[in-house]
Amino acid sequence: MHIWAVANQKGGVGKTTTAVTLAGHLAQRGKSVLLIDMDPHGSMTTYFGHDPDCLEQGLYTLFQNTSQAKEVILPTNFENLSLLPASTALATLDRQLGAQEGKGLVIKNALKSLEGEFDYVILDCPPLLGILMVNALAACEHLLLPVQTEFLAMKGLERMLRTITMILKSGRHSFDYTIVPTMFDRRTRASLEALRSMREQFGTELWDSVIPVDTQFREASRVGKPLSVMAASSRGARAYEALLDRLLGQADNVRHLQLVTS
Amino acid sequence: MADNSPLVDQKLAVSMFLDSLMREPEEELPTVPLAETVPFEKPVISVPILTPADIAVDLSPVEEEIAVVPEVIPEVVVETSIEVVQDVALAEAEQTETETEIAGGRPEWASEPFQVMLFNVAGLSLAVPLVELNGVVEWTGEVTEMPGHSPFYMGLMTHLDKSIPVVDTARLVLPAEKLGQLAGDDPKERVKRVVLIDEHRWGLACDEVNEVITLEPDQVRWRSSRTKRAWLAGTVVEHMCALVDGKAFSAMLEDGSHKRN
Repeated sequence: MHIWAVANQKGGVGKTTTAVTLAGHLAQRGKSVLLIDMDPHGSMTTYFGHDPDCLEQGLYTLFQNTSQAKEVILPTNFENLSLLPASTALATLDRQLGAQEGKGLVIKNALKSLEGEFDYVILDCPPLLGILMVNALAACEHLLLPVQTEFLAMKGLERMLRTITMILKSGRHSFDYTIVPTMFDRRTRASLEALRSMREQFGTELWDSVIPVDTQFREASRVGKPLSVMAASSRGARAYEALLDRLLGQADNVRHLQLVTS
Repeated sequence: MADNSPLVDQKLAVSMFLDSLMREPEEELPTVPLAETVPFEKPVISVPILTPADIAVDLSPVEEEIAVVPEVIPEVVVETSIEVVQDVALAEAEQTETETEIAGGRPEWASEPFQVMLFNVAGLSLAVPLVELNGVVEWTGEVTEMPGHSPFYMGLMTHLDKSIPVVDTARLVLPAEKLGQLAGDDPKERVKRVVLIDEHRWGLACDEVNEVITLEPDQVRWRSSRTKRAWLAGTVVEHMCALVDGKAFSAMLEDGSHKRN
């Protein structure tokens, strides 16, 4: 079972779109996929037609009892695709649990009980360094960092990379990561310049292609389907397919960041 | 001001947050049954801790050495006591060095490179391993004093809805003879931060919190014998600091062996 996380400390960069579209492609290739919505806003949960305010059980339940993973998973309308939904109560976890020892490992431990049930698990993180993001980072073997190709988003990425470096430095957990430029608009100078700076600054971990702006993403979320299902030949869907190929092909631009000792 | 919240030092906040969340609690380790975690602590608790007599014996050679070489005595009296403590700590480590090389004397957390946070008490530089650190909070002075307690006991501080006893670390780690030099000093004025150890059981009042550094186990002169100063795991010459064993410190406070006249 492969566990991927999609994270960035900046919001609106395409995290949920990345998670859902990649999951859609994987499911269409016959892989069984579990999507986990770790964002208290519940965007992904809403995407699949559930109301995070009304769900009786969800990710919050796992923090109460890690052995309940199987019970809280919901089917979706799509073959091979399951959802572990978010609920608004997730927003209270940081307040309730603070920095209690080991509470960053809840999801990692809960996923152990799902070993063999799914081929892929994709965690969609909140845009905030808190207990939920730490859980995702502690559980994943690969991290995807969608970054909007614009100046402010790049600053957010630098912050995120500092967090990642701290986790990797601690030696408690190790993972690979890939930076995915999103919302790329080749007509705008800002996009082109941001992409050029990203290539200079983050060369080795940066995916060598881009996810373009595509109005179809919005439409796909409106109808509650992964874009790969709704419009497989759209530019956006094809871009994510290329990303998936690269991820599955052990891309050479994905470099394992070794524990740095200074 | 009343509106101020006791917050962890900014530069430490993220690293401590990540470290705590991602630390596997011992009781959840599947391969280590709960009962097996107790014997690890027992020897530490049962170690006899220093008595005033021990300290007197401890310090005499160092004081003699200073008397012979008067030019090393700093002008500021408080600093003198600090240097003496560091020298004592280093000298103790020196004495047990051969033993340390054989027996190791390393706590479990020091089998690999480990991170420590440096902090100061009355000028003495101490280091506490992050694995034994539960947090650092600002000293607000808002403690509930408990009458009849020892002078080092500063009172109960409320943190995250928990009452945590705070102790004046300086009065516990400085040698008895040097405590007199702290007589005119009001710890409540000196203290700036409280270092939380042993699952928030104790708060160690300190003057200043410094950076987090990574230590190789070989950088520490480990003490294999802890019959005196059980809290002192070893010394780090490179950083001129004493490495605190948080569990032993807590055990010392729990079992009352720290009490001095």
